[in-house]
Amino acid sequence: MITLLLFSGLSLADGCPDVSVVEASTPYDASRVWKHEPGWFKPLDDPKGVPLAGEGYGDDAMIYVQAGDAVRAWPVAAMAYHHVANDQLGGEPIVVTY
Amino acid sequence: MICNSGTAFAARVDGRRLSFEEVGIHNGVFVMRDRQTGSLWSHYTGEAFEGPLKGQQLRWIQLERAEAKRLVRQHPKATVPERKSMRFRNTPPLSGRDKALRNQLPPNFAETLPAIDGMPFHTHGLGVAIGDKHTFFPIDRLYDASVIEDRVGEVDVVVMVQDGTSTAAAWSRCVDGKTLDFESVQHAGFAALRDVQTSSTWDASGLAVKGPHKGARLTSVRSIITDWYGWAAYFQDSEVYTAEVVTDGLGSETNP
Repeated sequence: MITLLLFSGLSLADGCPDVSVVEASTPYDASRVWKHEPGWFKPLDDPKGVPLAGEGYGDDAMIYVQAGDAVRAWPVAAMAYHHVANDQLGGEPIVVTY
Repeated sequence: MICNSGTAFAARVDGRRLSFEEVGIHNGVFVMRDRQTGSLWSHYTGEAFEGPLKGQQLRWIQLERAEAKRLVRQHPKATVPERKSMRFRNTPPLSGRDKALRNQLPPNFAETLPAIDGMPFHTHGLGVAIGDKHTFFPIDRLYDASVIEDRVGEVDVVVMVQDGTSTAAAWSRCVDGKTLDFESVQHAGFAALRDVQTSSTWDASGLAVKGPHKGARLTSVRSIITDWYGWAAYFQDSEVYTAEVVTDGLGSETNP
């Protein structure tokens, strides 16, 4: 079993169960990796952010993350092209994948 | 990628920022490489499985999904990359795919999979993982129920789908040490939750927007909107939700 520690702390102070630890059940098997040369897809690298309101996406599907008051979104249709966004949330670097 | 699974992680390891690019396939979903060390990472779990950073784990950030108009209403200050920085590729909804294609994958994807059974590969749903327990909620079951209460391992969870879309999320039902029961309601024109114990209303981001719990937030559990094959490849012991509907739409709330 591969233990994936997703958050560093336990949050049982509120009397609720800890949901921060996840274990994957399938061991890594290097023989089942297919690789291609880099550059097939172009990641989004530190794109300039603009307010989502007014961009006219309407009913378009978005994926988003939030930290405190900071919310960053990406159109699903754009992520279906780029697959990886190297971006920031609240000043911290993040990677978003699709 | 082809399984429509999105994830997000903090991109810092041992104080160093990493940036990533997609370089291949493992377990039917893509593998990414960090440009700083060349290590290979799973975009599904955030674990490095080859290279100098092998064994490292990126910190998980829960990625949510919503229609833009709802996101703007709930988070007016949300930002998005400017359009000119992006290219777009529209893909047909998975639920609309021909059933004959639901078990097909390109050979370079299929050869990276372990043996998978249980459901057609492209069965779309929400995978939920807590500890060493994993449950997959097929999106069709979510459509039937709108709100599902279930137990993943020792944790009571509530799962909600957003108005017939493939937008779904899962939370722990525990708030301040007490397990709440939830019903489906409409709030400000969107699907929402109402807990039976306090009649507080919780929006689709898990934020209490009305009632005694107003301002509180449900605790997200790790979940991925994905196709079955990717989930089953990473979590081969996953259960599949099959129970009957627990709750259904109970009414409409018009006050935002």
